[in-house]
Amino acid sequence: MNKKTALQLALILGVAALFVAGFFYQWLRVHDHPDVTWKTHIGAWVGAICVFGILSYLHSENVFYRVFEHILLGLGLGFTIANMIRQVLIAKWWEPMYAAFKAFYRGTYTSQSYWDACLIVAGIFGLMWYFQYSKKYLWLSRITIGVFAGAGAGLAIKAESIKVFPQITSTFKNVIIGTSQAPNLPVGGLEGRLGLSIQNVLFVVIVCCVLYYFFFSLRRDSAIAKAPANLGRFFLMISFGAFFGNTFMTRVVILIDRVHFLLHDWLMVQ
Amino acid sequence: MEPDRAKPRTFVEWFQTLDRRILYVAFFVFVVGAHFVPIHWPSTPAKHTRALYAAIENAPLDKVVAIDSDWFAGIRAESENQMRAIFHHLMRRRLKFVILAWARNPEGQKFGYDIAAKVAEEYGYEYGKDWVAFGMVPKARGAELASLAKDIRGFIQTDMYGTSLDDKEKLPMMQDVENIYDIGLIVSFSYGFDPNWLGFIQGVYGTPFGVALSAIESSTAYSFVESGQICGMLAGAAGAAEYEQLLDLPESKRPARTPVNVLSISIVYVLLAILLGNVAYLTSLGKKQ
Repeated sequence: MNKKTALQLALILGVAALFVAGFFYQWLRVHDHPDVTWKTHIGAWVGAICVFGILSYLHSENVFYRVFEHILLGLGLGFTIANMIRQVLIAKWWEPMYAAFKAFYRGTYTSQSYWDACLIVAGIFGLMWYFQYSKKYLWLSRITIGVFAGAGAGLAIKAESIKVFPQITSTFKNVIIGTSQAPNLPVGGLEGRLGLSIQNVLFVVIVCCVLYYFFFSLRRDSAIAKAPANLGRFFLMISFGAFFGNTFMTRVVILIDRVHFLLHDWLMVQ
Repeated sequence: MEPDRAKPRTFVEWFQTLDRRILYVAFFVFVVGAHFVPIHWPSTPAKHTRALYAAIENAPLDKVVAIDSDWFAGIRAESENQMRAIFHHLMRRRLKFVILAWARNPEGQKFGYDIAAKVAEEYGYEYGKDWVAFGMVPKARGAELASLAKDIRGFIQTDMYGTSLDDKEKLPMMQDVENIYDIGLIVSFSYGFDPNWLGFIQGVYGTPFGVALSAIESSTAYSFVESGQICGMLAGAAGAAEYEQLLDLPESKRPARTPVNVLSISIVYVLLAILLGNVAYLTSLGKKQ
């Protein structure tokens, strides 16, 4: 038996021992928790096995992990499709359209029935996507794609301009704050105004330096021409560091949540 | 040259050739241990957290608050506590609210409903009269938000049970909600916020828009908070803990506090690992020279 196999065996035995210990521990403690039923118990056990299955990837790619990965993907996809059919296709497309055609047949239609009947166009249009799978009728899917791309581009232009312009205007900041410009500062008087002035100066300097870093139309031969770009890169590095710190926080909180689940819901440790 | 992993000679070499899986196990043990450390780190609510609190405090009582529940199981660790804290505040102020759900994240609807229902029990909130969970609608590059703004009941049509939003008996609250002018505030819970809310709602109608995001994506929203387009933000689990503190909730109703305490202790482990790793690396450089 080589070292790798021995390590894997030890790991599997360790996890198995943990499970057995956990089961007996729970069995002993279940009577202390009147709110815990065997239903919630089984749920916690399934959850715990899933957590260990997914975490086993940290050791190496293995069958145990792959089984749970596929279960997760299958469940997620199944849940999405079922909800899409029930709450979107049936509730928002089929039912109003069917009711409209029924109303036309019975002669009880209203002005809304015309709009609801038009849903059939959306259905046909949507189905045209599937001609992607046919070489002969591929051109039909291109009509749908063209309409979607055109509408998407139109919507994006509108949304982007509304989203970005306020960002540009908010970049123009007062670097010298007078009493009338900042009446509601948390720290009043000269101290507060000076603090805000420094903050705004820093903001403007950083914006200019970072923009200059991405301005490639000028040659940066001299030290003076290089300095703002270097400063811009320095500020960018600081922001990337902050981004990475946030990334770490989210990842660790997810682990903490699972550990909390194992300790409190599975092992019932108070 | 590949260092000899079988026979490490010194501590420096041993540390540099350490199997990363040992570090993982040590970190796991550290996180487990941190759960039992009774330290509560002091924290001051951030400016953007206080801004969201103020936005809810100033939300008009004659309008409803729209909660955009666009999150999934993967970020439950952060979003669940954020959402619970916001619901506490809404219900404490007796604000009526609706939960929006999107077909791309079907779990968001279920999570949003479950959390709201649990908090509603405490405050005596009644489904249909004080709050409603909408049925799912698909996302369509912002067109769905443009439609929502003009005719909420016509666009959403049903609640999550399939009841028509026009049903006066089951959903009396919805009879006063027609378009975006009946919404006083929008709070979006998601992994990373959908900028179409700014392009099609906040920027067009001026409806205040707040976000509760995962820490990883909060970095992208700071510039919008700074420009005033986003009225306030909860960033990750820390944001939830800060909000609970602002609400002055009793200890038993502050679930976000534990993960933030454990997180603070866990950071010590990472800092220690970075420090030791760098010391070992620099020492090995000195030896080579």
